[in-house]
Amino acid sequence: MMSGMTIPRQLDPPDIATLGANGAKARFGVAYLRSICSQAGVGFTETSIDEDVLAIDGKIEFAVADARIQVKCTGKFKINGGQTATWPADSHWWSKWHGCKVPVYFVMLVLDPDDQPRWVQHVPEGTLHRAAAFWVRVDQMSESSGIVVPKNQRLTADTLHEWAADVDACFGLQAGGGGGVR
Amino acid sequence: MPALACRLGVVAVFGEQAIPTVNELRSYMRFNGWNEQSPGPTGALWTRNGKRIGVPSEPDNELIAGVVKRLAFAEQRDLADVVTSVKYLLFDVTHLRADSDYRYADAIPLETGAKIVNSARTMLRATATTARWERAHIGSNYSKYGDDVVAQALMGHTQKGSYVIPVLMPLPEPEGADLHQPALDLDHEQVEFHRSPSEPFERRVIRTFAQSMQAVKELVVDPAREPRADDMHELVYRGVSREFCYALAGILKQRSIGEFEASVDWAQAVPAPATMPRSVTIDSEAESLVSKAADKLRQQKVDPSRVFSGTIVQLRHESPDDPFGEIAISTVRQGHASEILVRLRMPLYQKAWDWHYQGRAVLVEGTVRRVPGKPLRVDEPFRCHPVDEMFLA
Repeated sequence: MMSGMTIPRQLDPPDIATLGANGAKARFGVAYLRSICSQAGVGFTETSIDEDVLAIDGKIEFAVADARIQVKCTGKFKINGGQTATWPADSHWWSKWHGCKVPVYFVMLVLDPDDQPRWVQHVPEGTLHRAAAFWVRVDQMSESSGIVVPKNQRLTADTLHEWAADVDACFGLQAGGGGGVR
Repeated sequence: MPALACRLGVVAVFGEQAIPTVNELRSYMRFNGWNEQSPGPTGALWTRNGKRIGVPSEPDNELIAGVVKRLAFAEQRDLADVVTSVKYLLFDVTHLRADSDYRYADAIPLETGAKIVNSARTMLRATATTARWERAHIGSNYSKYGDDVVAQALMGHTQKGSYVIPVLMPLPEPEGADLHQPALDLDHEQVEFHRSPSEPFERRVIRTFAQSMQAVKELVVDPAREPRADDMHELVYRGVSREFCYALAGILKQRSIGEFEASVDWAQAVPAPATMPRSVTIDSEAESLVSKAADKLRQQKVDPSRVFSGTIVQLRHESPDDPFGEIAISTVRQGHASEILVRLRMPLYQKAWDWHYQGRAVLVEGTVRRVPGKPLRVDEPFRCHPVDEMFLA
């Protein structure tokens, strides 16, 4: 972990940072996802920790089985603006996702504005995250040059119920929970 | 889902223990009351008491690790314990521990290690033969059937601490559910009939091994005197042979060994003897006594034709007025698997129920009557008691 540590040069002293700009963004993306999972009472485990990459691989732990997650955190998009956001995908990502036997979701956390000191604002009513996450299921999506994330798929605690139903379906349980019993 | 400690556990546990297979998981879950539902593309949902776990149909380490984690959560048990239970569901595991005074970390002399492994194999081989046909002295007459069973035994990784070698004996999967049903008549005085499955021979071998260790300890080592002829008979009835004692003495003779212990973890899937000591420890100072017992067994003539042992597979009491009940013992007698009916007076018959519930094998001495076309039977046993109770005249 220490190998990825870079010290930003232009912040005011004393400099307390141990994460680079990319690393800080990636951690923020994971922390945001964790907070949504926590709200829904669902566990989350990172499967690889590298402080200086933008993509984080993780597992959402539902009662029946895990779903897989790829989280990206970016400042390149606006929260309100456009119908979709497209992210380039490596071809080896697609082969990994298509081979997965449980659902894989791509989560894009949009930071808007992309200004690190303003990511979290402490307003009188509470804590305001200047961020929104959008998602798309990718294990069943055909390979293309980019991952198209619809902006109408906002990640909330309710989304996790939808994902849990997808996981159940992999094990023969249809939506509504009535099917599959023999 | 459980917290970080549990999550870290997955890595540590699976780092040290091989991940279970899908089939091992399915057997374990079936045995523990989980119900498999009709499958989907990835696998099937297994349910129990409102809990649901998705079990993959194909090998997938990530998904299997997820199943184990969920089982540990459902059972409120440690992950490592669950992995062990899953992997050893159908294995009797005998831990052979040599308490060494050799103070090099995690090591014993190669000579000693080799001696333990060789001698343990000989002890098990001798036991597999006497489990077929009790005798004081085997010589070269090892049972082919017994040898075939010993050939299936595995040696696990040595465990840290004292030097521990696990010996794994695979058992056949029990057929169907346990037929054990609660008795309607708690006093067992009324009419009743009960059957349960017989003990697999592989289990009989390991049980005989454990009871042989116990018999040597209680009849040879603990009395701390020259073994007597009566004791020799009792040893043989429990499966001890000259070869067993000789191999055991060979381990105790090793200079670097302070004591030798055998403890058995019985396979969960096959009902285990509840009262047999789980562990028997013999001090290396007992080597000369065990050697003497070996010498005596060479000279001893023991006729085991009136004595047999095994688990109770049937209990019958057909008329409330009948002062006798009848049990059936599943045994291997002179190389042949057989069932022998034993007639018992009611007080003893009622005790037999307790022994049966506890999974205890019993030892019977008496004249075995052979009537053509009918089961073997003993009408007036001279004695009938659990084999783990030593009968000291």
